[in-house]
Amino acid sequence: MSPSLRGGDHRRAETLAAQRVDEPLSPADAAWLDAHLATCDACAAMAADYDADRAILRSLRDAAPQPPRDLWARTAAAIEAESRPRRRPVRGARPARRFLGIPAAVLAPVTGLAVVAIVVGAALFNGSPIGPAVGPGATPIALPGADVAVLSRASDGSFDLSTAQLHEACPLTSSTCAVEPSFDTTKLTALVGSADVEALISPSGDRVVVIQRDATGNGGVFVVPVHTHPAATPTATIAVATATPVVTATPVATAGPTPTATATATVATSASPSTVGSPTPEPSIGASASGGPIAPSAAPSASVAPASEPPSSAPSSTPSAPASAAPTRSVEPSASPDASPTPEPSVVATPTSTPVIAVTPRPDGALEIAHDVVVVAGPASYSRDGSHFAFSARPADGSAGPDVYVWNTKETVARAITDDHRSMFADWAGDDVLVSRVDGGVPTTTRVESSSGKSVGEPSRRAWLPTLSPDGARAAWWDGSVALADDGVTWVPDTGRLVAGAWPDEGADDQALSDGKVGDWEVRWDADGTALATWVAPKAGHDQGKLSLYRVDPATRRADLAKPMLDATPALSAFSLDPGMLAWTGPGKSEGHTLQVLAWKGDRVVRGELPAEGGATLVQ
Amino acid sequence: MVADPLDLEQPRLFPGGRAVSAAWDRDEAYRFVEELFGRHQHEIYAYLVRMLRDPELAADLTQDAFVKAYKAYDSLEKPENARAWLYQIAHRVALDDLRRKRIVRFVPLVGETRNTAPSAEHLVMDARLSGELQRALERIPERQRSALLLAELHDMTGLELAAALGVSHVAARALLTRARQSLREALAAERASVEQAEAKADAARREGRP
Repeated sequence: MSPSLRGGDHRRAETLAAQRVDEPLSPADAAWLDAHLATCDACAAMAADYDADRAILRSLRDAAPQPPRDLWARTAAAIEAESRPRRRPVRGARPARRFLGIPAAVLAPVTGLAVVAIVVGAALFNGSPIGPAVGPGATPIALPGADVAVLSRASDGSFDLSTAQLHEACPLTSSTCAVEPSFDTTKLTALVGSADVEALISPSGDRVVVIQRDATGNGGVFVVPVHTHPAATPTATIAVATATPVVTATPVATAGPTPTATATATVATSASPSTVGSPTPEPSIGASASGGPIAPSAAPSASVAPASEPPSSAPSSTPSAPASAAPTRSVEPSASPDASPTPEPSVVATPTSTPVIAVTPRPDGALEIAHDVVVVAGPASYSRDGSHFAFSARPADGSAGPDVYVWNTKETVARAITDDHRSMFADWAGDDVLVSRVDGGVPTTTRVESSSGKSVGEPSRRAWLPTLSPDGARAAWWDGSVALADDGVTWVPDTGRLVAGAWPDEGADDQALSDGKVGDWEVRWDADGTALATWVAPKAGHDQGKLSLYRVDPATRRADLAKPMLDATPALSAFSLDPGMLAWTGPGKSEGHTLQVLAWKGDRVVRGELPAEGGATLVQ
Repeated sequence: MVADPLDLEQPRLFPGGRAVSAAWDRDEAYRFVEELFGRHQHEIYAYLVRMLRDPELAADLTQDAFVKAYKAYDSLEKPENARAWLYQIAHRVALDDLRRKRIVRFVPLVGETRNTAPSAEHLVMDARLSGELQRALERIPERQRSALLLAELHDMTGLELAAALGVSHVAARALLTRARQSLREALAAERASVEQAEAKADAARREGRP
């Protein structure tokens, strides 16, 4: 109530009075103060103030503000970010959020390139803010919830599969924004070598199919579970590689005396899925030894040589035969006492015989579903419901051309559904598949049953490797001629153009999706059929290509080529298109490649990227 | 020389001169900080709100303080000093922020309760009390304000208070004494200006009557 008192004694009194609040004064000081206060009203009042003020201050104790409930979550996240080894943060400023931890090496476009397969959850934007970046410190863009899977090469040449949940990406215009999903990483011990790899996530998101293409014949197709720990180590290994149908002429005499033996081999082809699909790694051949559903194919249908002796002209089974000797041998006795006649070369004689590629389960949970066949460059995909996976493959030694293989995901074998060695898988059409062949120099596409390869009666169309829209009423394909590829057994586009148009009946309004040279391409609709993405590369192989994205008019089903959402952006071949989001790898703002996304809702389109961690080296 | 746990660039020296590298066990540090957070987040947050007058900023800096605690984990010699050590970190974080901004904004405290002082005088002033107190607190120097808040609202005394303030025991006492003096003066000044404003308002009202 009174201003501070100046003057020596009063000042001393003031100081002592203040001190006295916290701790007792020395006896001398206490005495002096008491004496002074007795004679100085102003100082006495001031001393009383100290006590009063203290009480006032303490009254705030009861009104303690409460921290936000998510404070620990935020703090823990910040600590996690701190504990990752990386560059020292800038001092003094509030810590910036860190960049995504995908090493730049992962995204390099070279042999053994890493591929991104992204599954976007079905949920669209749930009111999450999404819009153009504002300002340099722009907040990340909210994305529809996405699981990101990145296949990367570790420094020792092995492959890692990293998965994370992704909810945001940084606007391209921002220099300081950063996002930080945390990745779970599994080492894929099944993948080796420097082969080109391509990875696809199953529709259910629980599996990744990794395809290796290597001219030397190493590798194949691997199925890797996602988000699961490796199951108990399988107790046996099936290593039988079945050649594509043997071309030699020796008629199979095995039909007679050894129906069971033959059946043993054959059953793999016609066995009911229940026998073949046993999760325990019983050799598919062994499982069939029960001999049940053998009869139908008993006669001239031994297509699989259990390889106790390599058939003379069975190309690719040779390398694997010795390896398979053990399990196979163990199987045969159970099949029939006279299994020994099997050394006779087997022959594919009838359409009902379909070569089978058996499966090798690996300790890390991966299933190797094709071995010693080379998956040819071309489409490979899951059926819409995720129950089957189809691809084209040919013998590793190049002795024959490609056939279409279908893998029922419940089984441990992938079956060839063509046997003419010149068939390419193009796309799924419901439960059927579209198969492209070159007939008399003309590329044509036929619709066949996925179980048998039998034509379903739709007239063939002059088209090469079409991709169907979700409703099946449109397709995109190579319209023109094809030429033999360098491997001598597959084809590449020659003269012509990429088009989209009505399917299967020919329409009059085909749209050209490319101009100039096309060596490799990929065209895809999103699941709703409202967007069309095209990737075109001038040369075959996983080089840089150009990625474009168009809206599709729901009424006319035509793509709006005049106003692309993304226009010929440099990109690698692997991209993922889901309702409202397109993701790909492309050159980043600085060196290296980054994961890039384009997200749209209504008329709003935003583009963002997930920058790679600085300091990593490119794999070159 | 008391080691500054926030000086991350230098090898940290403890009384005794031992240089420590940052090779602590990350898991151990994390668990320790997590436990520390559970026990002290409320008071640290409250302290920062009172210092900074901005609940959102206080939340951010609370987070910063605990992250710094994690990073400086090996600078804590004795676990029983953890509370004071934590307050020291928070204190530095607050000061850094205040010095950077040099702006003191008035934000009313949330949920303030009535004054419980026995004096009738103070009850009368109750309605204006919270505002006066806040404004008065903002007038006094930051380190003094910190000393006051820690002593009166966060139960820090003696050596603990000195550690939290990052000063010696003697210096802490002096700081607290000066703080009380400053608060007294500031409150007086606040009340004086309020009285002045009221007098003016009364005069205006009187003149306004027909």
